Amino acid sequence: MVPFRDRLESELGRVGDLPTLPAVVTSLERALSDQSSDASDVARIISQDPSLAANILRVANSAFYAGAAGTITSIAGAVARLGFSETRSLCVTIAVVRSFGHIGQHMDHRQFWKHSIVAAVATRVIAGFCNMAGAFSQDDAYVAGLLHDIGALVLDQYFPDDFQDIRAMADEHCVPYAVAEYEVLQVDHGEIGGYLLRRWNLPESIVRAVSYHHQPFRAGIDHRPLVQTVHLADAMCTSLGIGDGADGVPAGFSNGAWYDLDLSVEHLPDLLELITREAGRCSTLVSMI
Amino acid sequence: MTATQTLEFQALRDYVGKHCGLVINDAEAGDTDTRISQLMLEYDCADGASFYQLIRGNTRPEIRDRIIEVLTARETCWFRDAHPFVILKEKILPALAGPAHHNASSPIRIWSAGCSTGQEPYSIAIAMDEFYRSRTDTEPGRFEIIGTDISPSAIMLALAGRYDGVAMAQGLSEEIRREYFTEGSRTWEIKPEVRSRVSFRKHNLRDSTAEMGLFDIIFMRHVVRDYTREFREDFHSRLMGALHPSGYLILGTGESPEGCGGEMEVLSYADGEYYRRSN
Repeated sequence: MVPFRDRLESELGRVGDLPTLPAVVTSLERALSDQSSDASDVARIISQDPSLAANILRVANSAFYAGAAGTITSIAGAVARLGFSETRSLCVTIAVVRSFGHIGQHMDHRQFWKHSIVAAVATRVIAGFCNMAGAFSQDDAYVAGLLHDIGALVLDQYFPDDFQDIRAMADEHCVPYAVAEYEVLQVDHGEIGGYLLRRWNLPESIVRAVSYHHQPFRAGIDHRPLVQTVHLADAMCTSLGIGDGADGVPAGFSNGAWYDLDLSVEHLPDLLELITREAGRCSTLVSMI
Repeated sequence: MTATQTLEFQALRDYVGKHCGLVINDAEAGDTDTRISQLMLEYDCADGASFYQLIRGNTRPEIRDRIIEVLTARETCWFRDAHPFVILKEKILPALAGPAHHNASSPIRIWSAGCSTGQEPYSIAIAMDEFYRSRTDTEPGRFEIIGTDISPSAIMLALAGRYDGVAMAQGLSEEIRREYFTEGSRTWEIKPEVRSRVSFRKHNLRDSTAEMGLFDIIFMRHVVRDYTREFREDFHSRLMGALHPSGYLILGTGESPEGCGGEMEVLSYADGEYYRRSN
């Protein structure tokens, strides 16, 4: 039998409509990494994509961001209110969710993206909590968290028979999906997602974080901080029952993450509460899905 | 595995066991080697010698906890062995819940040591709730349950209090499941009123118990069985320091409080034994 890794390469290599990273994200990345860019440059790029622009306005005017301030009608105003970093995160989220809107036949998309979005925010929260600024950026943390389960959608769309077998096995034996994936395919959805992200030319640190978020010890020690942060964020969201990602039942995390990130158990209740609160904050974004 | 690697692992196993106070039987050698290999990979150690250096050095002070945690992963279930919870409800609580308690105004304090993912402390909380509900002559009492484990991941799962079908299938009656859990899509969540009764913290059995204060009841079941006799004796004698005079100790089936001398009185009830500290 052909190993799944080979099937993955050959079958996805043949697929013409494999989702690509939306062009608007690439343009924004370029603009935001340019020190001379200002809010009007970023607004111009967003305005070229009317649907994205409308959604950015809607988020900027949501209760969380608007507070008592008035309604904003211009994209430049929205960018100024949200800040560059938040604008980037929101644009990536909206564009990626849109690109993958038609992908996957069996997944509950709303639950899937709810888990992914909250995991993205949780990855950023944990990174901040653990002072990871020297190891990776908050923006990379968000993108890695957002895309960590993307491989499950690829599996659902392009390998539906395998996907069904895996779900049936996980349900029957009550094991996390990643464990069943390894049983059936000898890879998990992390590695499948990593394959896609590598085609998108995303930074290696993000590719590794996604690839090994269920097996952080395989990531290589240099990449460990971001991998462990995503791993922990994912485990916390699954344990709290936030959305239904690609994991299913609560499975805990590798204790290595704990020590690599220098956390203390006394922090756990605060961290879980912080993530629960951030999950509430994502409600406008989730409601758009 | 080459002959050299086999010898290397044997030496490593012996050293790890001695370093952490663990007994590793020959029958468990293969499994132990697999778990140690995983840790070596995690710590980027290419061979046994570099892992040995890591353990001996002080660059990763958590290494001893990590070894204990991977080598002592235990099975857990709800209301394990049943009789400890009958003893709790029918013998210990009636004795402690009344005015005879050492200080009737302070809460009854219970320590569930090696609590893994929380099934034991939550079982205790449920048993205590059932006890107070069944007593019309006793005011709902204040109590405090502390669950400890060496694994941060286990503690996170315990704190979250959500369990899958396999975990729920072990030891729970339909009535308790209905009364104390909320069913989700693939999981069951312990109700907040039970969860709020229990707090969790990380604790290595080798460390001092002083900062946790004194307890009225200690559940220490099937936790020290992987350790050497020397460690078990030392640990049980230190446990006395964490127990109130007349406090109760509940051990696993087949376990005894080695190292406590005559300080513990053996009591029997409901086909099980439990211990009370002699004044």
